[in-house]
Amino acid sequence: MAAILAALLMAAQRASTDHERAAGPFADAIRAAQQRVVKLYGGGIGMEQGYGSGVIVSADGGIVTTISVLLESPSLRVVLWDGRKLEARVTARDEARQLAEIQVDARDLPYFEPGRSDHLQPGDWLIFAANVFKVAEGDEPVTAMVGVLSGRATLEARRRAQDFVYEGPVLLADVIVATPGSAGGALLDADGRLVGVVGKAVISKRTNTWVNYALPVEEVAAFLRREATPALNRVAGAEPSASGIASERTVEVAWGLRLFDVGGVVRPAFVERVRVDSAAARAGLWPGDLIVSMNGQALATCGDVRAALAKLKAGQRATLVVKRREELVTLEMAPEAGPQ
Amino acid sequence: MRHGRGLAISGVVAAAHALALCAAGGEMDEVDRLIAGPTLRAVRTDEARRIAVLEKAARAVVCIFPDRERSSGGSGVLISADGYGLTNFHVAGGFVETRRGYGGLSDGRLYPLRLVGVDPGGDVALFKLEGQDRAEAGPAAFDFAPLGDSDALEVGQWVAVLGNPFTLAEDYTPTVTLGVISGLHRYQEGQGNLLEYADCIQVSTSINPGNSGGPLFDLEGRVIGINGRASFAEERGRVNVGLGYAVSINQIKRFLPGLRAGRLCSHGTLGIMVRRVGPSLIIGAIQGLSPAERAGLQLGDELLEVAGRPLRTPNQYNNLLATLPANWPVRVKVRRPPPLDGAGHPGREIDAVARLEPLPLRTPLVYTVDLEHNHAQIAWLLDEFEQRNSMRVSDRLSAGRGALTWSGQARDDAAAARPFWVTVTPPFDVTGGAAAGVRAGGLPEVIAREWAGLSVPLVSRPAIGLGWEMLDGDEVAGEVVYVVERRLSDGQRVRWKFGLTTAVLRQVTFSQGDEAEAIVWTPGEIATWGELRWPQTWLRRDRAGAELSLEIAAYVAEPPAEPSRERRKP
Amino acid sequence: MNLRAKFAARAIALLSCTWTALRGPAQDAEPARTADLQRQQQQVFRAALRRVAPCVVRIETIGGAQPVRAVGEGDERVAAGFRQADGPTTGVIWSADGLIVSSSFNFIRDPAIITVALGDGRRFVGKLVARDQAARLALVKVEAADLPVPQWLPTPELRPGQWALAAGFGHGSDEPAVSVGVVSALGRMSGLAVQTDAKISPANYGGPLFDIEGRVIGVCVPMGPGEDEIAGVEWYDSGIGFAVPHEHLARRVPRLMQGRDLRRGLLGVMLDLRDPVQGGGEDERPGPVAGVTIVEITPGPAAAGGLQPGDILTHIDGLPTPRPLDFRRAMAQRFAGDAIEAMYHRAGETRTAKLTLSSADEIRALAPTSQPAP
Repeated sequence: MAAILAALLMAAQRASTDHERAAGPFADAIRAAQQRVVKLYGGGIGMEQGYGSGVIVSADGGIVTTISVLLESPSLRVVLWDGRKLEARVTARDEARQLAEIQVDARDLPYFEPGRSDHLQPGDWLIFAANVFKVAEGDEPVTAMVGVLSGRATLEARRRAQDFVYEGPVLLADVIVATPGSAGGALLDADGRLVGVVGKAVISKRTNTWVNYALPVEEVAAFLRREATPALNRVAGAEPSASGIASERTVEVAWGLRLFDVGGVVRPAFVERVRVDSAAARAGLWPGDLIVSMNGQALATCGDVRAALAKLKAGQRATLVVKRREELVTLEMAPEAGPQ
Repeated sequence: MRHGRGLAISGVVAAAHALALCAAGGEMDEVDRLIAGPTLRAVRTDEARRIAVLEKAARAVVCIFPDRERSSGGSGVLISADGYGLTNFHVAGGFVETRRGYGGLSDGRLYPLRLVGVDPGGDVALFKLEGQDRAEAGPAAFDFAPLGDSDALEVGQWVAVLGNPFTLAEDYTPTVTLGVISGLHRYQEGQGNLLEYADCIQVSTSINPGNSGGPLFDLEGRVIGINGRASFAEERGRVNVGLGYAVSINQIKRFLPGLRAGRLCSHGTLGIMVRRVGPSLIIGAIQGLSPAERAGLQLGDELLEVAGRPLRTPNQYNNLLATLPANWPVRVKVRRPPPLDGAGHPGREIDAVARLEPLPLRTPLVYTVDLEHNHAQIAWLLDEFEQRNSMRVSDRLSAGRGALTWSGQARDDAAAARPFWVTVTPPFDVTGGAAAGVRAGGLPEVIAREWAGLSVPLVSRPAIGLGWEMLDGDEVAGEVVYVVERRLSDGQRVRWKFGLTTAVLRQVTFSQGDEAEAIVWTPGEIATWGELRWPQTWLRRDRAGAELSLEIAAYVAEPPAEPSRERRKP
Repeated sequence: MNLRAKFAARAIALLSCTWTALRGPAQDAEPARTADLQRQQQQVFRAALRRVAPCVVRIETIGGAQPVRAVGEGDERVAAGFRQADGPTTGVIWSADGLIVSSSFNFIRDPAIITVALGDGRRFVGKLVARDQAARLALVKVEAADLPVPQWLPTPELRPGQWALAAGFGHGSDEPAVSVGVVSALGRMSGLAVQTDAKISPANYGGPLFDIEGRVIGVCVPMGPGEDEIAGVEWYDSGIGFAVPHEHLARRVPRLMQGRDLRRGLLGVMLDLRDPVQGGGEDERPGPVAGVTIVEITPGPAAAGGLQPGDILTHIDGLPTPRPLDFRRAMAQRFAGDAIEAMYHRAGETRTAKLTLSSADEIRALAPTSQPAP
């Protein structure tokens, strides 16, 4: 009897919520987000904004945000969801990930548990919450938007004239997050769990457009654990020069090939010659081949090929795809003897 | 057992469902199909419902152009079958002098568009589409959209924007974009005195130049706002980046009566400045002779509630005030700090009602009322009142010997006209107050005269000419009302107030010269008298605050036995 | 209650909930619980992307000239560089034997080398067959057999408000990235395009716009005010995006297969672009003749065919053109070099003229020079 009642009760409950149409479907997740995202204010410089966002990661006032001129401000302050204004100080910086941790004096704050983002698939709902355009003041709730996970990629971007430092994995978001104030904002899944922190607004080198991305929460967690990012672990034969890239021909010499570089803006990577008994020769590379991609990444110019070779870690193979006449040929290039 | 088998099947399906949810990537076609059945159906059903709602909504959307070249334009939405619609003032600004523009509908046709009323402070304007085929019998019948309730919105709720961004609608079918509500009660600073958006709705739906003036819909197809602004990123120019703003429909509703009357509507001010002192909101400055002062508020009072909304910050106060029209009645609850010598006493709470005074525009705009149109609206409103309240004009009004008699035709749903006579005879049931001159068993001449006056448009269709005008709207008992005024040659002014959506009579007031509404008649419950629906009780409050209630004691279905002295219609 | 009964109670509760949930949508018009609906939507989006992915190809282009765009007028006309990005682009498989439809935006550089990669790992060298100027399409051919072709959604079934997803490889991942929006309008851009608020950008130009069952609606392209190759790119990610729907692809791809670029066909006329006003003033109302009035004629096909200013065009190849929009829609389906029959009205008479459409270059070449004859 009690069992039937229990069943009926559950069915009745379901029926009543079936009729509840007024509540927004993402209301719970948004509420959770708005309490755990803070508004950041400081001084701006020139075109750089004087405001941004941050996510609370610990109950005693630890907040993660992006590295920006805001952090240099002596009057860096945080405004919580309830309007409390607190002074903040920077406690950690991660140049490779362009993340920073700041601290405020508070207790028992609602915060985001470190979680995962790898359960997400393209098409899954995402909720974005941040202090966009500083529309919300004081205790007004931060802006919330809804979109889907677009995909995942490795970021290759620039900001103004410079290459953007972070070149690691990112979540691509189908919601505009490349806007003033959004950096440091939160991306959540439909259940309200933090899956990413929005990074500084940058332009993708691949599409030449402002790219909507966030650092996956795994990277944030690694930062909080103070783990170095693999992106900076460049171990290869060629020493990075002061400008950070391998000098013109050294890397080619190391692998035993020479590219036919005519100079100018567009320089497809045709192979001019191959040194006998070199790694390139053993891989089967021929003069006249056009190197099209390496390890799945398309390479359009000689510069791209050199940079890609320089990035290879010690002992790493290179799977090359080359165009030979009208065919595409795949070659495996292994650094058996190691680059000299 | 069927029931048992049903449960068993559920069990199997549930298990498979669970299995599917656990599977990670890889070849999932089999499981895809298993999930796809009811899952896909549920998503398709929801999608189909949205398509149907938006298709209907699209028929009410107008592509507005200042000229026939149509190189630039905005959007609008029809809100009544006779062609009235809402847009932004800054869209109508292109033709505010000529008051003539063009509106394209999703039937592919362009119609003449006339600017009716404007609210520059709120960036709202009301227009009327014309040009429906005159050969068809009956009045114009445009598709229109119902109005929603913007106070019931939630952040994260799906909304749709329909309009004509970048004038892409070559055939006037609106562009549809979908998003969610990103924020409520937002504030966007104005430029000059225009485009200040207070208490506005922030949305993530794509809003671009050309969407201005168009509707924000909930997914039931109700208009919950008028889109007019967006935040743009400098690097991308004037292109949507996910932040759009709409004027809330609840704000617009307060201005609708004045807009429909064809007026330039002003927003209101209490004449105070507020300041945050600790956790309290304090009146920091108060203008002499301001509505706040006249209502009895003082410097230093702590604001607790305004118009029923508890307030904590100056922003909230400014947000709320900016949505209210001039002359609006506003209830203000304050806590008066105790006098300096009243140590330990908590302040006392004071409840006051103030009428906002007009907030002048920084750049004044001259906008004359088209009286012909204004009078046509009075006639329209009286028609609405008649239809909703089963009344029909009569042609005889007589009074004498303390009795009021009027006769007419009551029209019920069966549309059969039946004559009636209502004689309101003494003794009236007089309760309450100490109104001078009320004699038990008698109806003082002044009250009889007032009642004859207030009955005028309700009982006989007057010639609406000199002295008549539809004014800005008002609020009675929480309801937005139309206000129709008649100025008599002796300086007396009578005002009738009809509900915005119901056309029910809510109040009639009398005043003399410049004084504020002095004598207020409020009808009570409507009773049915044969085929007649008429308030049975009336409450009259006079200048001194004394109240008098009247109750109709008799309804007679036959002509009165004695011929009454006929009096000319006032 | 003993343990067994408790367990039974819970089991019954769980099963009855599942039963209710599964029966819900099929049974009646009651809307599903919103939390469930969200989850169901996600599952459907994922599945739709998986379904369409095999037919979406990744295109890499190498070499070619950097496109430049002319800015300024007369003596101040200069070439301003346009830096096109380096990432991969996208295409949709049209035929099993290797025809790929993409956007002409991806081929502005006239690349020397084109490679096409499928989701199953197969890679091919591609050849650019031809480009469609008005519809912003490019047709690429690879030598293959048994390529997976998508299921196409018939264009007449499209409805504004229905889910529309876009996918593309522009961001460089192995899997296409997806954007979710709705169909915003049909028949935009002189009838050539479906409009969507999914985020369309170089990340998915050339990729598919598809529905929640993975049926392809059309191919995403940039479109916007202006006639040059990059018109409309400035609207990327703005919620204003376009795709050329299947019904137009079906007509244009076979013509592109012939190997010549398709250019807009022009008559050399300037028309009165104002629509009649329903119930408007005397000079605004629809006139007795339903057509578009010629306001000016420049040297070109119309002039050669004897048309004059004041003539009212009523039909193009039998298609009525009561409004300027109808004229534009008819012309959008025709190309430079096509022969058409124009019906027009002059002084109460109906006449016809057979005309051959010119391209914009040809019309410019015919234009009189600015120097007066001596």
